[in-house]
Amino acid sequence: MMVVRPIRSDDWDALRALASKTGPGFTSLQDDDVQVQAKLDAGIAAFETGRDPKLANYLFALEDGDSGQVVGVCGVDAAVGLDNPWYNYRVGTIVQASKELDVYSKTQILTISNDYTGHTELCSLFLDPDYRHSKNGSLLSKARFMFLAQFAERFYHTILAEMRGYSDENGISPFWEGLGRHFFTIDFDQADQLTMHSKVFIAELMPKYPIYTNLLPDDAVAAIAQTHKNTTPARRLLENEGFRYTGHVDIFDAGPALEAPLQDIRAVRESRLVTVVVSEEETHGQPYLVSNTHFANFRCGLSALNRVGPDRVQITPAKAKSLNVNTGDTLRIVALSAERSF
Amino acid sequence: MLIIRPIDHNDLSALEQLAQSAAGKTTTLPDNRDYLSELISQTQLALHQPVERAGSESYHFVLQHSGSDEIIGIAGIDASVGLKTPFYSYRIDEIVHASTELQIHNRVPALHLCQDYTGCTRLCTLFIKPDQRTPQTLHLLSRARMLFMAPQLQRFGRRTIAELQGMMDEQGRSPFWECLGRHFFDMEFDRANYLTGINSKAFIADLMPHYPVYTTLLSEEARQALGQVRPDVEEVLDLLIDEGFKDRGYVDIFDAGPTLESRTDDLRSVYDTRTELCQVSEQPLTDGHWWLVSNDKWRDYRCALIEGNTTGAQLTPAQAQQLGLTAGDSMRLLAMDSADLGFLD
Repeated sequence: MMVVRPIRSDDWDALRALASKTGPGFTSLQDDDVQVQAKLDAGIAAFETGRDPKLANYLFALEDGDSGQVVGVCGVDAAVGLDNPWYNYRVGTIVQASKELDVYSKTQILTISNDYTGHTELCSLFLDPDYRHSKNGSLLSKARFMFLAQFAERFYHTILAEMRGYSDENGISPFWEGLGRHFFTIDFDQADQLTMHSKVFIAELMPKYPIYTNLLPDDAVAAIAQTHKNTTPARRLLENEGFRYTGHVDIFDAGPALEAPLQDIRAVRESRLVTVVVSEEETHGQPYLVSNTHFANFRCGLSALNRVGPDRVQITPAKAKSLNVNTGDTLRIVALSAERSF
Repeated sequence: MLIIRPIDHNDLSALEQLAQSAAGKTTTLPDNRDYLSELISQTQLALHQPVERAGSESYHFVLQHSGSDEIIGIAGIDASVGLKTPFYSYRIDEIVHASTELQIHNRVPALHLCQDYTGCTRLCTLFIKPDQRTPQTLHLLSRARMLFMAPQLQRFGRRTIAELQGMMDEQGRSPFWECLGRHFFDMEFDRANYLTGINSKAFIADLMPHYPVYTTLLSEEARQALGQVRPDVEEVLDLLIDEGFKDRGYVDIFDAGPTLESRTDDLRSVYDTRTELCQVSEQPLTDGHWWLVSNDKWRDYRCALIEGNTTGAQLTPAQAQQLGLTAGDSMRLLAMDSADLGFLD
C-alpha cells in the first residue's frame, strides 16, 4: 500500500534524490544540499509537540509500503509571510471615465500585496516520475486535506496554493521578460533560485508602485494568471476540490494563486469519522482517502471500504497495519474524487 | 517697426485669424472664439484690477507692425497656475532598488504625477505666424513678457515656469502620447491638446495614470521623448536657458516636453534690466547694439527692439510715439546680443 506519513530524519537520502529530479522552476525543492537539509529539519520540527503551530512547515513523504521506498513529498506551511514578507500581485481594475469628454477606459493594474500573510499554503508537492500512476498523485496531494480536516485549529481559515506560471517552449516566462527583468537585470531561473535562499531581496528590488498592464508587452499580459502546462493537472485537481483563482498572481511569472476556505474544501467538508473493523474480508468499491487521526503518527492511504454498520467500515489487516490502526480505532474517510461521490 | 502691447477687445477677429494659422500647434491658442474672447477679457480685467498677490490673472500680448491691424504673434503670462484647476506635471525621479547582499543597485526612473508647480507664474501661448518668425520677433515677443513683469514682481509667483512642446514624429504624432496617454483614453493627441487648451486640462489629467509610471516599461521612442523638445522649438529653449530657466526633470503629462523653471527675480530680463530717462533724438547714435526697450507702464505697456549704442538707446520721435514715451519719461532697457537676433557683424 502507498501511504503518506510525516517526514523522518532517515528520509534524507530519499529526499535528496527527489530534489535532484525537480528541475528549475520548482523553487521549494531544489537540487541543493542546504535547502534540502533545511526543508527536512523544518518538516521534522513541525511534528514535534510544544511548538508554535503557526511556524510549522509540515512535510510528508509518500512511501511505497512494499519496498519501503520514499517516492514523493508534499508540504503544508501553516502560515506564510510571518518571517519574511510574502508577495503577490493583486490583479485589479481601474476605470478612467469622463462623460464630458466621452471617454471610458478600463485598465488592468497590478498592485503589490501581502494579502496572503498568515495564510496556510499547500507546497512542495513532488512525485517521482516513475510513480505517476495509480492515483498516487491524487493521494499525495489530497492526503494533506485529511490532515487539515483533522487538525483544522492549527491552520488558517483559508488555504492557498500557488501554481507555476506560463513559460514558453524554451522555458522563457514572458511575464518576467516584460516586467521583472527591467528591475533585476538577471534571468528568471536565477531570480527564482535566489528566492529559495532569501526572499528579502525581492522586496528590495521589485517595483513598489502599481503596474499598469497596458504598458506591458502583449505576451506578458496574456501570461497573467496562466498556469504552466505541466501544472495544469494539479490546478484541475485543486479546482475540483473547490479552490479558486481570486485575482492574485506570482510576482515573477504571474502564475495564479488559488485559494479555498479550509472548511469548504470538498475533501475536508465531506470527510467523516468512522470506527474501523479489521478483518480478512476483501474490500470492494471506489477508492477512499483513509487516514488515522494521529498527529505525529499521521498516516493516509487509499482503500476501498466495506460498510459494516452505521459509522463502521471494514479494511484488511495489511491496510490497517500501514495506517497504524486496530479494530475500534477512529478513521477519517472521504471519497478520493468529487465525481465519484456517493 | 515691431511693437508689443496688451491685447484688447478690438483684436478678436485678428486673433481668430492667428489661431487658425496656429492650427492646434499651441495648446493655449485653440481656434475657439469663445475661448479667445475670454482670453482678451481676462487680460483687460487683470490690467484693471488691483492685485495683492498672484492669482488666476492672465495677461496676453500681441505683436504687430506699427500701423498695421494684423496680429503676427501672441504671448501670454499666467500669474499663477493650479489655483482654479489642478496643474499637473510628471516629475522624473529615480527609484533606487538595491540589495547589498546581491550586490545589485538598480536605479529605475519613474514618472510621478505631481502638482509641484502650483502657484508658479507661467509663460504661455507663444505663437508667431510662421512667415513672420525671425529671431527678432521671437526674442521681442518672448522677453517682452518678462520686461512687463520686472516692475511688478509682487503680481507674480516667486517662480516662473515655461513649458516647451515635446517630440513629434513625421506624422505629427507624439510618441509619448501614443505609448502612455492613449492607453488611458482613446483620443488623438490633437483632440486632447485642444481640450487642454480650452481649460479641460483638469478633466483630462484626472484620466491620466495617477500612480508612478516606471519609464523602463515605456516604448523606446517614448523614453527618448522624455524631456526632449520638438526641433522647431529649440530656439525657444536656447532663449529660455539664456534667461536663466533650468530643467529640473519635470515634463508635460501629454507629450513629455520639458517644463523649465526659474526664480522670477533671477530671470535675466528681470534682474539685468535698468531704467533710465527717455531721450528723444532726430538722429540717435547707433552702432549695431540692440536694446529691448519698454515704457515700464502697466495698462499701456509697450515694448520694442531698438538699435542704440554700447551705452544705451535714444529714441526717434516715431519710436517714442509708438512706445508711448516722451522725453524724460522712465523707460526700461535690456541689452540684447546681436548674434541672437540674427544681426551678424
